[in-house]
Amino acid sequence: MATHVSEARLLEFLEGKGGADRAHVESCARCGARLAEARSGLSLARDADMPEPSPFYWESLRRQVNGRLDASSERIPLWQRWRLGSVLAAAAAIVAIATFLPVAAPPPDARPERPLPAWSALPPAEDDPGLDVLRALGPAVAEVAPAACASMAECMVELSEEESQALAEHLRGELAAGKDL
Amino acid sequence: MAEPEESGLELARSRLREDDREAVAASQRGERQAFDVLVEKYQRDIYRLCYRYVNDHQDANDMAQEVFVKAYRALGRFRGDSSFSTWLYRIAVNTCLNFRASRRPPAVELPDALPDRAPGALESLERDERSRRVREAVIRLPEKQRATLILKVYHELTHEEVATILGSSVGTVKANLFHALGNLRKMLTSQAGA
Repeated sequence: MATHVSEARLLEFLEGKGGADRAHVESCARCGARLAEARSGLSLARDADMPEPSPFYWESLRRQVNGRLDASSERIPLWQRWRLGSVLAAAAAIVAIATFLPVAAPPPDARPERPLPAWSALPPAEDDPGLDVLRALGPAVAEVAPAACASMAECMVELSEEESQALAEHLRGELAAGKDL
Repeated sequence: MAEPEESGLELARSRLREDDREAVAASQRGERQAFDVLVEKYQRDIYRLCYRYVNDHQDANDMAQEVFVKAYRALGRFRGDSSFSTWLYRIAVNTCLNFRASRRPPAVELPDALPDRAPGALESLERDERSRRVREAVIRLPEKQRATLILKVYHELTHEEVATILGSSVGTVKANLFHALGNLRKMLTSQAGA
């Protein structure tokens, strides 16, 4: 089977430079057709004019280029640079203060947080089986102290440290005993 | 499409390179007038390259401006390894490859006047129409083929120069050009048959 001529070699042929493959191109229908097609494409491409802009256009293009270069290379006057520097320095100072102020000095109206009750040391809510117990206890707590607190959550928050510790231990004991609540 | 006489062409290009050297050096020192000389010298080539690429005057105008602005900003990095024109063409081709046509409605080309009945007027109209169809086919070529065909056929650069501009080998340039010519022919034949 004859090896066909590569595109690069056929192009050289089109440019009048391909001598080595002449015999093949002249006898091979496929390579001859590819060459004829490219030759026709070249002739079409060469004949295609493009509309020429008005002679005044070139001056306008130069002006537009210069205008863009002027706009991009405009220097900030010295006094404006000084003012810009001051503004940037002030902005940097504000950012620094805003970043370090909470660490350096707490706001004057900040009150010390209340110590968390003992039950807050329990595992995360989703892992704490005691939570199910508390939910079950809800109606009972509400019956016992309806006037003292509006909801079970409020009652729990109002428990003292010792009370909440005792309640947590009691509930764990109930759970360990497998008591059905 | 014989390559132009290499020795004469080389000589002419070497003179051009020498001519540009001073203007380039002065531009690199920030002398805007010197850069303006380069814009004046190359704006036609760059505009025509861009026009062939997009087939639209307004887009070609925007792209040509962009090419010179980019070139001015990048002049500090131009070391003179290639000629200034080759370097500028490379910026132009990259600008063309990255260009996304602005979303203007396509211009409707209306005749300026009633057809002229003078002898040769019809032939002129037919030639214009053929040219328009070829330009439209060129912009539908794959990008590398399109760039290769434009640089070779309309700017008459050597294979080596096109290879430098496109960052490919001479063999690839030749193959791309051959494919581009064949594809152009196919597109125009299928249009004529439709």
